[in-house]
Amino acid sequence: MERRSFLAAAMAQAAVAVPAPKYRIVSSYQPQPAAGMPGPYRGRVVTVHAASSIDEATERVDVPTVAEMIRRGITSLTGDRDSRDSWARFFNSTDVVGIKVNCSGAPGAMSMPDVVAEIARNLIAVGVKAANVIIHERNEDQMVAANYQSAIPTGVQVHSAAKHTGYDPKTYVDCSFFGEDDTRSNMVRMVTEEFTKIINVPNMKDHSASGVTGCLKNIAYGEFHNVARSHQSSKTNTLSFIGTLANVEPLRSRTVLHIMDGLRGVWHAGPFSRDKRFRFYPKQMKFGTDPVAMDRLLIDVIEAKRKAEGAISVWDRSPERLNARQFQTDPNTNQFVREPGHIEYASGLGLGVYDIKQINHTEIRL
Amino acid sequence: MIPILLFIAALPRIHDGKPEPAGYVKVPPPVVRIRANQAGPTGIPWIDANGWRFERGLRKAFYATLPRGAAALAAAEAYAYGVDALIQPDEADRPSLAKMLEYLESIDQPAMPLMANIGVIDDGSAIAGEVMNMLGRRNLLYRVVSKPDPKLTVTVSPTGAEARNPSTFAARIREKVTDDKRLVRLFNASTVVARLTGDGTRARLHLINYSGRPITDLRVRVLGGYGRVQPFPKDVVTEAGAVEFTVPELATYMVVDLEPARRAVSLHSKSDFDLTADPAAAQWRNVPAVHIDRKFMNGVLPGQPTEVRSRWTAGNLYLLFSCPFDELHLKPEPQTESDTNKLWDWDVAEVFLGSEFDHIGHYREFEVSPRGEWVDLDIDRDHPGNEQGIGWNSGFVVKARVDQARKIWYGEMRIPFASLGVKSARAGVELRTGFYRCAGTPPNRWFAAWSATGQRSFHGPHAFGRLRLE
Repeated sequence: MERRSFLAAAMAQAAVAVPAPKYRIVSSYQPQPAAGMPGPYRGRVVTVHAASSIDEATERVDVPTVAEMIRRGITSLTGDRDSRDSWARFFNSTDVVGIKVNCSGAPGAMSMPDVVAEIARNLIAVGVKAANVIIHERNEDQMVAANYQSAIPTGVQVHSAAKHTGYDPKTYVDCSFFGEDDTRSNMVRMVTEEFTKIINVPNMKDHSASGVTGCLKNIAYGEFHNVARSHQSSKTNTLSFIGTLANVEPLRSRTVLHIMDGLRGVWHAGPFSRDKRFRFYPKQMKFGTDPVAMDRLLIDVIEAKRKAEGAISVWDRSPERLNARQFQTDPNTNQFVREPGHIEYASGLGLGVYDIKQINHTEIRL
Repeated sequence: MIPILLFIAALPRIHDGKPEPAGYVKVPPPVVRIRANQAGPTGIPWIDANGWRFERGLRKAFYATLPRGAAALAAAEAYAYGVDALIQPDEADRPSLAKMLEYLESIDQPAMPLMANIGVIDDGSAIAGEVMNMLGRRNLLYRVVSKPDPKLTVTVSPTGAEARNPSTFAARIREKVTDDKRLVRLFNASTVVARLTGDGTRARLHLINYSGRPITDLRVRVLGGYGRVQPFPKDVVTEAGAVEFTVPELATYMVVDLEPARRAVSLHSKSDFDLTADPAAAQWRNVPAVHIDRKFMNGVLPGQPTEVRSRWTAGNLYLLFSCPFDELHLKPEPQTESDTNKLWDWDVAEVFLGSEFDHIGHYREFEVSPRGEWVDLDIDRDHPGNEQGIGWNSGFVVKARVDQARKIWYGEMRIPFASLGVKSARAGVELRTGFYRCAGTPPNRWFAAWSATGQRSFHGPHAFGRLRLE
């Protein structure tokens, strides 16, 4: 074992051992047996690589390549020959499907509109009404910046929680992290009252607080409000808060599929980085129903890139590296003591498989 | 939580004169200011509010030469604290100030005592003033006391070194009170200050928004057994000792009036009995009645009220409606073998019953007509996709009888507790309950409620009363 990975493992252990804040979860929704996370393909991840998926110079996405990546990814995950059979395992004509994108760094870093559009087309192909496909994010300005309308099929809806239905006052996690006045984080009301299913489409990114932001972070901090309160000064509670939020019903049961968009990513200063210097192009997509297993592999992608760039590890907890002022420009500084251990923590909640040896990972190269 | 000071203050008035009014103390304009990293550890906006000045005894306030946009807020602030105030508005603010004064006049009523968790022994120092400012800013309800009051959760004397950082001191007081015991909590808003008054039965919550822009979906939690919330906000939840509701939009100021739920009792019967639809029958004699005597929007309904009586056994809940009428509005071709959909378009007595206090939008509806038609429905206002509607069958039975001579019709119901989600019927069990009546022939149709819903529908579970098994 390299010293670096040994340190990472030790730090993850230490991080997980810290007692979690006291959470009070309020929800009237019951778990749906066998539904949602980690779903029918626990511990299984399919990664599809395609060098032609995006042009690094223009950042233009090659739509036919993306369509083929999705077809290969979903069929490999389910074992079906016809991708319609694969999609039909998850969705039918009665569903109202929320596609949870990530566009907090739009337009430079986001779930790509062409990827999201292709997912919507596949849903429609198995009978989901276009009007019942709802691409959503919390903040309106981010959705405007991402401009999903430019790519999606006619009839598909684009909404922000802020402008559409707001948040569900009866479904929330109550916790005081730092003595803040408002101790509640409420679930997006579309999740509780409109969606029957959710497809989670995160973007591969480094994250200043959680280490990386993949499936878990996108579905947790992205489907609840008042979450930034979990960070203060150099301390962040993402370690336990991300998994706790992702575990709340009905979010857990309704999130049935994760498709991680790794055509373009961010290797430092995430999640909002606008600095093109920190973008990179993994040119891949990951497919699964197990967000923990997918995020575990995401750590390796971000770590490998950071290592190649000579940047400190996402596991680095050194106090001397903390420098919020320089974080946006210096990849050898941290804004917070990062908590990539949130992924293992979520595994402990039953959300999926963290142990790399237990993950069944198939890689396909187009 | 006990009466302290009762002020009868005039509504705020406009002061157009040049000379400063005698006997009034100038106060700063109420405003919000963004001061990054200076507003305490949560980074919430900085508010200049005068509540602490009023709580420590300033009773005549002069809001002099207010900046544009502040006049309506100043009037609201003064009114909420029961202060005699004179206001010098910016000319551009006169319309919004007039509108605010009109609102204040419409809601004006004798002031009730201030309710608080915290007693503050005020030595008149600047630090004590700032501590009160910070308590108010955090909606930690306090009142000034001269000595510790055991009826308050905590009494503080902010004079020592521990109070030198008033914000931190307020945070420590909050920890001592604990959030669960706070009389008021606000969520989804960082610029709203609350003040609560009450007389032990009713309460009035003042909500002052200092942000200068409307706040949507303000969530409010008030400790106390209030069952009725006006003006009827949405998403009401009542749980152990508290009521929660959402104010859809708060502009500058509003009051929310809270009242106890209407209450009815059901008397125990050792054994089940046959339905008679007769209040003179042995099982109904001497059973007290409650009255369906309100218009469903609110206000007392003239005329003889509908009476409702109730009894219960281990397995069933019984209800007897006595319904005075002038004329009957009956559905042609009645049938009593199965549900009659849209029975509510004709003369009916209705009861809505819910056993879930943390999910009040889920309840069951039962109706009986003068000729014994019936319908029962499963309702879920929060999750309409989950409700079974008219497809649900409770197994309840009815009997009806019309006394043409006395112009009263009677409807009796026997409802299995199992259908209501009551696993073990016993004395002390309470059900969330609404009693209603639809009557009259169009265009003289009328609708009555035991507990008014304040909306053009009976389906307002926020307004349900309580039926207690005794």
